[in-house]
Amino acid sequence: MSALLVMIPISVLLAGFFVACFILSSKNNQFEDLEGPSVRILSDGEEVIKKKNLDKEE
Amino acid sequence: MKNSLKTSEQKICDHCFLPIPPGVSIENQGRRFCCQACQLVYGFLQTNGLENYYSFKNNLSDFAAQQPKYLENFHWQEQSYVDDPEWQKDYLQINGQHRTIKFYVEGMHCMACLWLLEKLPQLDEKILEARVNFFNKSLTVTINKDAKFLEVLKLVSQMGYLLHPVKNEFELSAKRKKEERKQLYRVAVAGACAGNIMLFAISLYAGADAEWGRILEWLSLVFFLPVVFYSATTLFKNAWYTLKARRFSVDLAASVALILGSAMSVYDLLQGIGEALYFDSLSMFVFLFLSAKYILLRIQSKAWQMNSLDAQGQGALQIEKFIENDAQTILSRVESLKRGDLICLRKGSVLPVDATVLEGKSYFNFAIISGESLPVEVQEGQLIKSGARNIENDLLLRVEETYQDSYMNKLLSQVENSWLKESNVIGLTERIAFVLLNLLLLIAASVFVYFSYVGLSQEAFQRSLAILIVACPCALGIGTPLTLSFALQSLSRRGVVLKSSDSLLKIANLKNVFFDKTGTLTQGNLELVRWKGEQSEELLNIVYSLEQRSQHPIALSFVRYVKSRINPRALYLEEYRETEGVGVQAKIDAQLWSLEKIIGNENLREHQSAVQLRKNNQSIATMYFEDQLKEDAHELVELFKNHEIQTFLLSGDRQSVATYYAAQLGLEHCYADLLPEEKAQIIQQSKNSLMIGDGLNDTVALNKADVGLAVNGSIGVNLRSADVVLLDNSLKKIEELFLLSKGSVSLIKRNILFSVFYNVLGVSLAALGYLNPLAAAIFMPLSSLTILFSIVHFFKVRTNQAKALEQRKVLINIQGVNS
Repeated sequence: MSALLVMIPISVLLAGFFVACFILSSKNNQFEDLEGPSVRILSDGEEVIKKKNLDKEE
Repeated sequence: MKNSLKTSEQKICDHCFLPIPPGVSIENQGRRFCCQACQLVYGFLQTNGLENYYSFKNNLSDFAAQQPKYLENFHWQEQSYVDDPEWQKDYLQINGQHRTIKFYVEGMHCMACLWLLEKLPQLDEKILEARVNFFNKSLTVTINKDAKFLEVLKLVSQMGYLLHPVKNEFELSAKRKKEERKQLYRVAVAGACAGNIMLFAISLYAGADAEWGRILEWLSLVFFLPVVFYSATTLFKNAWYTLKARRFSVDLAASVALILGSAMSVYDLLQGIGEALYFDSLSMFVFLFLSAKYILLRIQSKAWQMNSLDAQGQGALQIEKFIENDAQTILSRVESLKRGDLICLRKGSVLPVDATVLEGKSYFNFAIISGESLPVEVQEGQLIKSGARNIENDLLLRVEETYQDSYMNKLLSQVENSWLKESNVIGLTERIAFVLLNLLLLIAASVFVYFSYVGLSQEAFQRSLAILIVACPCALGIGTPLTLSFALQSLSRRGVVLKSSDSLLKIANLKNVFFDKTGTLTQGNLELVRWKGEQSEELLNIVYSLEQRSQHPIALSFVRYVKSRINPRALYLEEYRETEGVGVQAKIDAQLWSLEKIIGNENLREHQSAVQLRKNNQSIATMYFEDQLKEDAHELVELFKNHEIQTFLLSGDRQSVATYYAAQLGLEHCYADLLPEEKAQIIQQSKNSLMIGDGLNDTVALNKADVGLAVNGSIGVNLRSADVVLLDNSLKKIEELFLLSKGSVSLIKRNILFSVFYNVLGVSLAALGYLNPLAAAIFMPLSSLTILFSIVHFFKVRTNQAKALEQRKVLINIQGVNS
């Protein structure tokens, strides 16, 4: 039970730390766009190969 | 009436995956497209090695099909202001050698767009970075010093998107953003504290006692303090304002419960009783309540952004202005034009200021002003109001009014001003909440007084507190705003944008619907519906050659018709002549061919126009044109009639034509020959009205109706004058809107009913002593969770249904394409 004497203050500090992290990342606009990043990682980062088309239809 | 045969053989466009309308045939190298825009974008993607776009799109779970944006008469010169340093002051961000501008992307509809747009740096080395924010539909582009933003606009337009620059910190300015951010912090703190308090509460409920019990209780208080003194301060502020205004809001109810509950809990803790501690439920309540409010705030600010963003595009237009005593022109911003300036209005451009024609003759489209869609000839010396579009020839004009004072701008600002006025509607929710809270306070007070008087002060405290705790204002505080915000979100994903949730409530209570005719119920074009007489490839080529130079709606219709049947060849014309109101004629291979408008044909019906093809004055064939009804028009009218809503047709067209269309659709009332102001007058006389019209020339009418719905592609002007904007022309979306409104309102009513029932039951039990404060604290969050769950469930079901329907449609289309 005496372990709680240590655990509780630590958990309080931990909670404070996470709130601080949240506030910091919010300040950096990380919560502005929630759908974009989830899709961005799906792209393989393929290189765009410019093809010189023989018959251009422009 | 046109009847499109939908067999399983329906082809879909190889670019946007939407079904190709019958009669349209645009092909290239074996690929089929539904429109020129799709074909061009497809070609662009091919040339640049971006075909992965299609496989990417196919793998997405939320499949959204939309046609790319495409402007036929786009004048790049008009967009060159993006590189003007003067203009850039408000828009540009400089970072050493890098220059950045944020744009709103019109036409972005799915994740594949994000993928595509972020490939920009790979397409052009001068573009250093392109970052999409899908939530705002914005694109932030960074280029290096010697690049031009105009090139970026051009490149992006080839992908099928239109960019609208966003001012630095405009409207949704630093101040507003900061406010939003602060709200988020409040939610975060409340959540973190509530979570921790709950953890302690678990141990306490499990029976932690004596030393540790006391410690945990005090810890709960420590975590509770930030919730009350930081997170809940918005609640207290709002409650105070509404109290001063002698109005009522849910914040007031919440604040009272919070203050009394906290006071009681603190008192209990200090007394060492340890029975009436409500830090857990109160903090959880604050967290839930603030989260819902924050969600609602974000949704509303997103809609705001879309509105104000387009307002920017308007004023930055440029036009060619003549410098004194010089034949040369310079590009000058529209806002800086002064009376007496000479300007050159090019073919295809919109006149931005009121001006007089000095030299030249041309045809103008006055649709914005008079609703008349056919071109009107203008003469030298004639004053033309701003908003009219020059169709035929370049003209020299003298400016009569500045941009601020011109017709169009004045009209728009009038509408904007009336729109910004606060709507003081004390909704059903607030009325009930008001009654509830008063009743509650009365009961709690009387119970307290009674038991104190009788001498059972402990009992008095217990019971009155239980009463206050168990009574949950959260159904009203969270339930209604959450339902509305989900509904708005769901609708905007479907391409229906509402400016405020008020409209949703109004739509559910509709009594009268007013339809504009041209462009709303009908396609807005004259389509060739019947070709009576000879037809052959040769004749089609002849017709094409005669009509390709003209901008008349009938000519355009002819060209569309011919192109959908064959790949036309333009023949050599001699002595070409176009006569206004009559037709065109020319000699081809020494034969005199003419296309002339005819009237008084026995086959000709009121709403149609007829044109005859003549060879050497001998009639060869007669073609009939009509403005066709949109596909879903009939269904929509049926829907309203089934709900006992009166349907009206308001049209600027002739009585006979309007009556024909009204009869076709089964509309109950029909008014014709109306000017825009007259339409507004009719609407003003009715209650619970919805006006469905074209955002451009029905501005006044849309504004007068209780709910104004604009059916049109681009956002621009529409969001200023209408409460609801459809992003595509589909009338089916209106059906969805109506059904969703009705569904949401009944959901809200159900929740309110549940809440009333629960409160009555809970308060009675508490007053009678059957419910102690602890039990009350457990039931209270349970009730709000029930309501929350019902709302989430309702929308989840609808989203799943809609998705299933979409996927089935696409699958059918794909499977239906044989070869």
